[in-house]
Parts: sequence; structure tokens; C-alpha cells
Amino acid sequence: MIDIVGKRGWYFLISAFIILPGLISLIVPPGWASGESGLNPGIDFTSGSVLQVSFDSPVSEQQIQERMNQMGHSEALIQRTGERSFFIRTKLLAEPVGDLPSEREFLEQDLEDSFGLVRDQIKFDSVSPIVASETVINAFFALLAASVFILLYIWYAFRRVPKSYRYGVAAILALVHDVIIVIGVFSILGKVLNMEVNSMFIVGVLIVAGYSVNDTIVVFDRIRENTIRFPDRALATLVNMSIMDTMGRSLNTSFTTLFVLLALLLMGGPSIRGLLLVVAIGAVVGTYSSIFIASQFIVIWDRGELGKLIGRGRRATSATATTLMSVILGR
Amino acid sequence: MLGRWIGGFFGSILWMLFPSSSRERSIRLSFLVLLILAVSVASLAFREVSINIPGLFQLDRGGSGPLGLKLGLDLRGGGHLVYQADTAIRVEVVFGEVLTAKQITDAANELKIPVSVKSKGNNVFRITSDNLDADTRDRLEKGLKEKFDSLETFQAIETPPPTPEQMEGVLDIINRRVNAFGTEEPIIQTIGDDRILVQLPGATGSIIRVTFSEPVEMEDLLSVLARIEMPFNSLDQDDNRRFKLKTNTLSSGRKTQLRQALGDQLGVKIDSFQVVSGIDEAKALIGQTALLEFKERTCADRFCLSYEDADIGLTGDDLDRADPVMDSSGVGWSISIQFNDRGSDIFSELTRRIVGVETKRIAIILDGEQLLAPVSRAWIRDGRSEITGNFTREEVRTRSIQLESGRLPVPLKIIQESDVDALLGSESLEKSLVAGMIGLGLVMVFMVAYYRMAGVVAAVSLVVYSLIVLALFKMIPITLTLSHIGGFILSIGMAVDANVLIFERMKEEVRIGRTLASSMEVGFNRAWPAIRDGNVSTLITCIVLIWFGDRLGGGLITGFAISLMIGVLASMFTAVVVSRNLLQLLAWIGLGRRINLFTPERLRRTGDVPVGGS
Repeated sequence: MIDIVGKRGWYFLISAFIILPGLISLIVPPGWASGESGLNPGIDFTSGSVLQVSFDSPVSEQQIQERMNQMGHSEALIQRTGERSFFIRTKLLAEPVGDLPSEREFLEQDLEDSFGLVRDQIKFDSVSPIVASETVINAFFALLAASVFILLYIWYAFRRVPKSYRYGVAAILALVHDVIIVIGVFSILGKVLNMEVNSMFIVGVLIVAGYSVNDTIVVFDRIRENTIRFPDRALATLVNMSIMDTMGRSLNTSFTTLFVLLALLLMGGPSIRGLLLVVAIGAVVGTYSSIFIASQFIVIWDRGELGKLIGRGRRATSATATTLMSVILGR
Repeated sequence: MLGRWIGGFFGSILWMLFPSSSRERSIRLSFLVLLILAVSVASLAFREVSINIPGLFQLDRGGSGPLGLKLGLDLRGGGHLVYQADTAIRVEVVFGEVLTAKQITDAANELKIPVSVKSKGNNVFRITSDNLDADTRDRLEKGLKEKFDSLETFQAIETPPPTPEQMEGVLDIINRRVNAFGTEEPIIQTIGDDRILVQLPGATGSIIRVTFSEPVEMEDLLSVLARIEMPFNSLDQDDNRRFKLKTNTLSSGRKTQLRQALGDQLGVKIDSFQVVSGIDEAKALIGQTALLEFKERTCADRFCLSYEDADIGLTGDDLDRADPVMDSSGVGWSISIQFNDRGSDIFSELTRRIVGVETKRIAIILDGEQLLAPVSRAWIRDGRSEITGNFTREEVRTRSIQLESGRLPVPLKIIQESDVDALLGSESLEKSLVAGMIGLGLVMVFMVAYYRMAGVVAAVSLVVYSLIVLALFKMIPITLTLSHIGGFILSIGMAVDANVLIFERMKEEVRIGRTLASSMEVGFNRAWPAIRDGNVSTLITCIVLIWFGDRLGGGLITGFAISLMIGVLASMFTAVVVSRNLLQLLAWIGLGRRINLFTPERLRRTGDVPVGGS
């Protein structure tokens, strides 16, 4: 049997290495350090309008940008989403006033005359600032509420195992681990590839949270069963045994989920693509964290190594903080 | 009676689930599965499903999508608008001279205060803006005073949050306007205390209004449209010269082509040819505040079948309140109305003039539509009046709300909008159907390749799963959007998880030397706690999402969560009931002896398998 539990310290180090770049990207200005989200927010979170359009002749992002500038929309953000299709994001477009057409109508007409915009295949979205700020707050509370309920449920479901609350805490730790990795990756993607997060991203994060817990519970279920079956054995041995027992299932379910995500990629649309990436990362990270974070955390807690881990973590954090400060101040 | 019936129903389900022997249970469960499958297939096979047991139960299901499913706007095209009652502070200004709204807007722009100005008279204006706090108002007042000496009053008006009755009034007005707009199956409902959701399928596209100089036959018009191959959604006739055509959004080229073809081929001059975007027209219609007018009606005959209305300058602004009240007789219901000072004067003058005159009525008109047309029974000097008739309590309530909504119109602003063109919608639908098929196919191939015969069982139960979920979508009914379909496809990947858990357990049991039939039994029992706990935690997430969903970007997240929840429930059922029974059936018909058909690995210790495999 492979000794997975024996190297438990390493997994936390590996996770720290994965989390750190994303966390830095989230914190360094313009990020949490300057009171921002650290993500590249789409209109769902900032307010504005988005036109998803296609043209019947080839046109470049620069050409559209120039045209938008001339129409007084220099803030417009143009993104290519297909061979001839684009994503045009602007500030909130004005509604029609009196006999004047809406600003949207005006822009579309101009883009049609200039580049041959296909008029009957357009998706238009707009969100005002009120809705935008509500979404973020609600999403945060949704995640918090879900975590609390899941913790309580696991506590209850594992009541026949000694100190069952630890399983709940470990599952939530793995959940936070997964969610932070996903958000961190998107923070970096937002800076490197200009990838925006929309409300679908929030849906994705919540799916990741659900998936993470689901995965963790399967491993924990094995630990629960083995603890009851072999009450004499050490927890570390039982955890190792349970991980090996559930490995096949964990991998297979990740595969089937990834297959389905691949199929969903065909559904296309820039809004759903972000979601798929979130869930794909989440599926992989969720499988990893159920084995290498949640289960190991149970062992660490059981063996009283928590203090040691926190001590090391504190040293690592202060080292990171020093590095971070130098990065921030160096800018 | 009903209680006993329900008890019997659940009793028989319990009997099916917990019978005496496992073989008996298996047979009964198979019947249950077949029954559920038959109901699912039947409900999907007929586009329109309609069950009617008089007095007890009525159900009509069906929609425009494939299998009679209801499609949301992003799959069929249309406009989704969320309005909110605008409680921002507005300012009313009165000048001593005649000005235009534009002059005031320009003056505010110079001060860098973006405003919109509505004229309420030659010298009275209402100024609105996103942010008119005390500081901004001070600056605006000073600025206007400098620019126009004649500024007489500058008054901030606070709009209190709307009452439920007011929101009901707004809903009523929007309902009537949308019906006038003529879109099919609109959805108009309040969200929370002060928001209104308006969904208009088919509202995206162009509306073309043509007026010809001479009468034109509908048939001739249709043949011209056919000749230039112009697809359209509807063609309405206002009178024999005026027509309204609804199409997908037209390109400039198509517009010109249409205009020319109509002019050339009909041989009639075109007086006017107007193209507007359907969404803009709908918004213009919905967004207007209601206009309530009182007019003096002169009837041409005794029954007032034809009449003429004259403006007397009395509007909703002059009405103080309208309430439903009990009749003075104490039997019927009537509507009590009360005018303000200005209104009372006009009303007094009107009633004095028309009291007892048989041909005169007071026409009360909301949004160009007649609400009431009472006769005057007395000269009313104090502006306090009761409108009586054979009203029911409900009618009186509705009319009062309508009068109130015209008196105190709740200003609305759009806070969220999403429009999808019809062509784009059907394209998304096609793509997502293909994606669903491919996803299902990939998972099936993987399962069969890895788990052999058991994989075939999983594949069959996935098909059953999909049918049950689709049938539930149709029967609940759920209006499908892209996010529902996304949630559904994603749940396929997760639905198979329960099967994977069971098969892995089965393999373990086979490995330690159990027979296939007993491995199945034990494997199922061992896998169940993990399936239960995992799915319950997903359900918890779904419920939290639905709970927050209404506020989280509207239907998007709720849709996703609902379809995931249905998926999780259906997948538990198919894994635990369908897969299990199929495996047991396979074991009985003799395939159970060939254990290698069920596991991917070669069993090395074949001698240990008691049944003696092939």
C-alpha cells in the first residue's frame, strides 16, 4: 500500500505553492490591498452594457475599437469570441428619450453601416449599479450559509465517529482551499488574459463548493466505515486505507465530469466558457483536496500536530507577508 | 377520504420498497420503474399534455420547444426587463418665464450634473437624476438661479417607497400595455417589494409601420412579402391603409428592399414607412407613467353608443385619493374619490353644468382606455364624491387601485435588461442539445469501457435518468433557459457518480470472493451512506442557491440550482432503484456467473470465486 498519510506535511506545502500566486494576485493592488476584488469584474458586478455581436465580413478588434471611440465610447472593451464574433462592453447605454432611438440602436446602426454587423443575431445585456452590488453581497452570504449548513450536516452524519465535528471542519477547510484556488486562478487570468468574471462565475464557484464537499464526503464515508470496523487501528492507518479504497472512484468521477464539461464547451458563448473553466479546475482541485487536504487534516488534528502546522504556517505567512510588502512597496 | 387515499398511496410505495423477500421487492420495484418510465415517455411523447378530472384535478402542460418543453427567452428570443420603482429625489422648478426642457438640461450639464428634465407646463419642470443629494441640489439651485433670473421655486420632492397597492396598480397598467403590444405569453410579476419583471418573448426584432396613400388588400401585401422572401412573425391591419409588420431585426439593406418592393409592386404611394426596434417600442410603452384624465362626455344617443369627449383640464394630478367604500345603503360597494383644491373647483364647475343633463357623462380615462363613465347626480362643490353602480367588492378595489395608480404614478427605471434575438436563441438551443447528446454519449462509452456489463447498466439508467428529468421539466413545468440546460448536462456527470460508487464497492466484494448477486446486495448497502451524504450536501447547496437566487442576477442562478436539484434527486432514484434492479435481473438470467463481464480487471484468484466463473 502506498503511504500517502506519511507525507502529509508536503501536501500542505504544495497547496500553499498553488494558492500563493493566486492570493498574491488577489491582494496586490489593484486588489484587496486597495479595497478592490482582485478579479476582473464583468457587467454583472460593475454595471454596464454588453453586446454580443457577429459581422458578415472580417473585421479586427482595433477597427471596432476605433469606431467606438469615434462614437464617444472610448471606454468600450472589445473582445473576440469567434472568427467574426465579438463581445463589446460599454458603460450603461442610454434608454430612448422621446423620438430619439436608444443608444444601443444607434451603435448597432453605425456598426452595421461600417462593418456589416449582423442585425438579427445579437444578445444584449445591461445591468445597473444597484443590481451589481447586490449580486456580490448575496453570493458571499450564499457561500457562507451553504458552508455552515454543510458543516452542521456532516457533524450530524458522522455522529457515530468520535469527534465528528472535525470532519465537518475538515470538509469546509477543503472547500475554502478549493474556492481560493479557483478564485486565485481567475484573478491571474483576469490580469493576463483579461478574463472577466460574471454571475455565471459565481454559479461555478458554488458548484465547485458542492463538488468539493461531495468528493470529501466519499473519502470520509470510508474513514467512518473503517473506523467502526477496525476500532483498534490507528487513525493514520485507517485514513491511508480509506484513501486507497476510494481512489478508483475519485478518479473515475473526475473523468466523467471532465467529459461532460468538454461537451458543454460546444454550447459555446463567452458567458458559459468561464463557468466551464471554473468547474473544470474545481473538479481536479476538489479531488486533490479531498485526498490530500481534508483527510490529512483529520490525521494532523488527531495527532496533535495542529500547533506545529500553524507554527510553520505562521512563519511561512510572515515570510510571504514580507515578500508581499516588498512587492507592493517596490511598485 | 383524501387522507386515506394518500395514506394508501404512500403505503403501497412503502410496500414496494420494503417487501418480504429481495426477489419479490425486485419485481415490484421493476414495475414501479416501468410505470415511472412509461409516464415520463408518455408525457414527453405528446406535445400537449392535458389531464382533467372535473372538480379534482386539472393540468395542462406543453410549450413551443422540442418535446413540448417550455423555452426561456435565451432559447427562443425575446426581451427580459427588470424595473424598479424609482424613489430617487426629484426636483420641481417653476420659472417666471417660458423655457424649454433643453435649456434646463444644458444649464445642468454646464454644472456637470447629468439630469433628465420633463416639462410639466411652459414654466414648470421636473428634474430627475441618479443622484440629487443635498449638496448637488444646492449647486443646481444656485446654478439655475444665476442662469435664469426668473427661478421662482425650487422644491425637492421625495418619492416614498411604493405601497403594495401601488405596485399592484403598476402591474395592472403594465399588463394592459403589454397586452396592447401583442406579444405572446408575456410574464409580468413583482419581485420583492419594489421590482417588476417583464419578460416579452418575441419582442426582439423590428416593427415596421407602413401607411399607404390608398387602401391595400392584405393578400397583395402578403404576396409581395413572399416574392421578396421576407420572413415575418405577424402582419396586422389597423385599417385598410395602415399595416404593422413584425419581423426579425432587419438590416439596412433589407429595410430599403422592403420599402422599394412595397412601393413598386403594389402600385400605391407610401405615405409613411417607419421602422423601430421591438424592444425600444416595448420599453417606451412600459416605461411611461400612467395618464389619468377626466373628460366631459357628450352622448349622441340615449345609450351613449357614440359620443364625443372634451378636455376640461382635470387629470390624475388633481385627484387626492380614491378608496373602495361601503355604500351608504350598506349593501353595495362604491368608489370614493376626493379632489384637491384645484380639482375640486373644476369638478364643481363640471358637475354644476352637467347635473341632470341626460346626454352628459364624466369619462374617466386611464392610458387612453375608459375606466368608468358615470353620470352626475348632484352638483358637488367640495370635490368629494362617490361613484356608485352595481359594483362587486373586487371591482371597486380594482378600480380604486387603477385610479390611484393614475393619481400617483410610480416612476420606474430599468435596472436589468437582457435581449436575445430569435435566431441566436434557436442556435443556442441546437448547440446545447448537441452538447447534451455528446456529454451523455461520452459518459456512456467511458462507463461501458471501464465497467463492461455494469457499465451497460449504468448507461441504461442514465437514459432513464434523462427521460425522468426531462419529464419533470415539462410537468412541473419549468421554463428552460441555457442555465437550466447547463445544470442538467453537468448533472449527468454527477449522476453517474452514484453508479461508480456502487460498482467500485461491488468489485471489492467480488474480489473477496462473494457471488455476484450477493456482491451487488452488499455493494449497494455499503455505497448508500456515501451517496446519501454526498447528495444531501449538494441539495443543501442547491437550496441555499435558490434561496439567494432571486436576488443573485435573477433567474440565472435559480435556474441552474433548480435543474441541479431535480438532477440530484432523479439520479439518486435511478442509481438506487434502476441500476440495482437491472443488475439483479442480469444476475438472475444467468449472466451473474460470468463475473469477468462485470469487472475491468482479470480476477487472478478465480479459484476463490464460489460460483465458478467461465
